[in-house]
Amino acid sequence: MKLEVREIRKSFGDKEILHGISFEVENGKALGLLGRNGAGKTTTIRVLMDVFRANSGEILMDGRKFIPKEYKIGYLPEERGLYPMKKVLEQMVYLANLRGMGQREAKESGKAWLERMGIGEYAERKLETLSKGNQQKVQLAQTLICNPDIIILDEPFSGLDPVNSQILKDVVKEQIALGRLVIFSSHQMNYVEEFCEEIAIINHGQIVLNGNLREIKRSYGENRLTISAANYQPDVLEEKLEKEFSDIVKVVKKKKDYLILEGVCKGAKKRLLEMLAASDIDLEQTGNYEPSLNDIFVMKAGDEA
Amino acid sequence: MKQFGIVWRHELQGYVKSKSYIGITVGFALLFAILLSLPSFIDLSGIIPGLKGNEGSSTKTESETALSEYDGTIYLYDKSGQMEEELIAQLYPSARIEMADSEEAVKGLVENGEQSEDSESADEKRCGFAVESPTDYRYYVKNRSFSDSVGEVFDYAMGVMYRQGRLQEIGADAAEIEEIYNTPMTSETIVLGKDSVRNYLYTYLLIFVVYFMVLIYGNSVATSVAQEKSNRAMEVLVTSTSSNSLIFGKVLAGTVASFLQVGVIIGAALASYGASREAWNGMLDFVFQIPSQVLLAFAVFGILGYVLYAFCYGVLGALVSKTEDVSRTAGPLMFMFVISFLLTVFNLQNSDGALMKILSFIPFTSPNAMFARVAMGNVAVWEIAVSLALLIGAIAVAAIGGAKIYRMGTLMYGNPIKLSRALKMSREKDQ
Repeated sequence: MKLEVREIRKSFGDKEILHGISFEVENGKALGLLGRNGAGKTTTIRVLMDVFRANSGEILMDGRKFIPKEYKIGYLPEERGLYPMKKVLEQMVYLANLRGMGQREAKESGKAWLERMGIGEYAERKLETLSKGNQQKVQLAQTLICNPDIIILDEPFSGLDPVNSQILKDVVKEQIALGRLVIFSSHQMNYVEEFCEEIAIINHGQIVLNGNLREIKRSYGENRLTISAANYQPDVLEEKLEKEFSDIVKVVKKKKDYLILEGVCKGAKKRLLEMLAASDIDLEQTGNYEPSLNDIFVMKAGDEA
Repeated sequence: MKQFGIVWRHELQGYVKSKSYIGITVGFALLFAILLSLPSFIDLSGIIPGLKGNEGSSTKTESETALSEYDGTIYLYDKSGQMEEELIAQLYPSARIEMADSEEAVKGLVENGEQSEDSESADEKRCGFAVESPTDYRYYVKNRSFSDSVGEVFDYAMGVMYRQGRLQEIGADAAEIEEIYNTPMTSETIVLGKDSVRNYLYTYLLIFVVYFMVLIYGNSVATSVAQEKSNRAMEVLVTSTSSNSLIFGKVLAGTVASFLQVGVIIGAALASYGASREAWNGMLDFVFQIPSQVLLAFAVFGILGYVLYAFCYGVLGALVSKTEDVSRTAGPLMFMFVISFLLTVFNLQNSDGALMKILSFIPFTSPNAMFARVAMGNVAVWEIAVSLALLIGAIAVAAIGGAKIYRMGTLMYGNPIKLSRALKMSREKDQ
C-alpha cells in the first residue's frame, strides 16, 4: 500500500489553512508528520480521514482515489476522547462496530488488546475510574481493536510514564513490522527518530521538508563539519575562522563547545584541514556533522524559519 | 444505514439501561397501576364519592344532601313567630337547637357560650340565627370555617317556610306545589360529534405529555451531542462513522426511548383502569376512554413534533463545546415550544378559532395545535393532510440542514457558535 497526498489545500471561510500539502508513505513504514502547534497537522489528518473535504488536491492509495471507508483505519486523536461514564470494553466494542467489526469479534479483539496493554482487569470498569496513563492505553487499544491497515497516531506518548511508553513503543514497532501503514505525529523527536523512516514537516500550512529521514540528515550534514580548538574558545575561534578562512568555510552555528561549519568552495573540507594544520589553531576535535531531527525541526519550523 | 443502526442501538441502550430511565418508567407505571386498581381491593367510596362501594354502604339521596352535618348548638331567636322548629330540627339532625329570648342573647351565647360548669361547652361549636321577619334574618357565627354551610341550609329552610306560609294564605296546597317544583328531570346527553366537556381533560393531559417529552428528551439529545464534543469522543466518532448516522441515530433513539417510556406508563394506567373499571363505576372513563382517532393523532403529531424539535436540539448541541452551555443555547428553542404549548392550552376551548387554525399549520406549533383541533374541534381531512405534509417537510429541512450544521459544528470547539454563523458556514460547499 502506498498512500500519496498531493497538493492538498483547505480553507475555512476566507482563510487558507493548508497551502498545498504533499507527502507519501508506504505500508511497513512510519511517516513522522511534524509541525508546531497550529501548523496544520490535525487538519491534514482530518482531510485524510474525510472529516473535512479539501478545496483542491487529491489523496491516492496505490494510484487510485483514496476512500477512507474502504480501509480499516485506527485513529488516535491528539485530543483524547472516549466516554468517561461508560465501561471500557463496552465503548471499545461500540466504536469497533462502527468501524465494521462484528459484536463477538470486537469483544474478543478488545479483550486481547486490553490484555496486551496490561489493563485486562479494567474491561468492565468505567473509564473515568482509570488513571490517566491507563485511559491512554485504552485509547490506543481502541485504535488498534479492528486490526487496522492504516494507523494514525497523534501524540501517542503524551502523558505516559517511561514504563507505559515502552509498552506503547513495542506495540507501535510491532505494528510497523506487521506491515501496517503508520502516520505518526509528535513533538517528541526521539520517538519519531526511533520509528519513522520518512518525515514531513509542516509549517504554517505547508510542507517545508519531506523525505527519508536518514537522507535528510545526510544531506543536512553534507559539506558540514564540526570543529573545536584547545587554545580558542568557540567565539574567538569563530572570529578567527571568519577572518582567515572565509573563502573556504562559513560558520553556520555556534554551539557551547564547538562550531558547525559549512564549506563554500569545492574540496572545502580537505583545504580547511590543510590550512588548519598550518595555522596556530590547536585542533581538539573535528568530524562530519550529522544534525539531530530536533535541529532540523527547529531549522525548518522555528521562528527564524 | 448499518452504522445508523449501530448508533441508534447504542444510544437507545444508553437511555433504557440508565437507572433514572428504568426508575422513572417502572416507578410511574407501578404508581398508576396501583392507584388505579385500589378500588378493586379497598373500599374508597367514603373518600371518593361516586365510587361503587361494598355491600351495606349507602349513597346519599338527593333530599339527604340538603341536610346539614353540623353537630354544634344553634341558638334561635324568632321575632317573626313563624319559624317551624320541627323543620329546623329535621334539617340539622346532629345539632342542638336552643331558643333564645332576644337577638342580643343569641349574640352573647354565640360569642361566649352558656355559662355552665361543663368545661366542654367552651369548645363546643355554636352559631345562632335572629329571624326578624319571614324574609329577613341574621346569622351569627364566631369563627366561620371555610366549608361553613349552616347558613345555606337555614336559608333553604326560611325559603320553604316562607313559600308554605304564602301558599297557605292564597289557599293553595303547599305540598303539591313543592312537589311540582322539585320534580327531578330525567335526561340523557347524546353527543353525535365531539364532546369537548369529556375530551378536554385527556386532550390537555396528552398535550402535557408531549410537552414534557420534548423538554426532557430534547434537552437530553442536545446534552448527549455536547457531551461527545466535551469529552472529545467526537474526534473518534466522526472518523468512524458519518455525521448523518450520528445525528439520526441520536434523534431517533431519543424518540423511541421517550415514546417507549410514555407508552409503558400510559399502557400500565390503561390496563389497570380497564381491569378495575367496574370498581371505579366508570367514573374515569372521561380520562381513559380516548377515541382511537385521537390516540392516532396524538401518536402521529406527537412523534413528528418530537422529531422536529429533537433535530433542532441535536443541532444546537453541536454548536456548543460544553454541556453547561446547552441550556443557554437551547433556551430560544425551548421558549418557542413553551409558547406553542401555552397558546394551544389557552385556546383549547376555542379549538376552531382563527388562531388555532393558523397555529395548526405552522410546523413548530402544529404538533400541539393540530392534535388539539383533532381532539376538540372540527377539522377537515385536507387540513390534517396539509398540516402533516408541512410538518414532514419541516422535519426533512431540519434533518438535512441539521446534519450539515452538525457535521460542521462537531469539530469546532471554544465559545458557542451562533446559529446564523453556523448556517452560513454550512452553506459553504467545501466544509
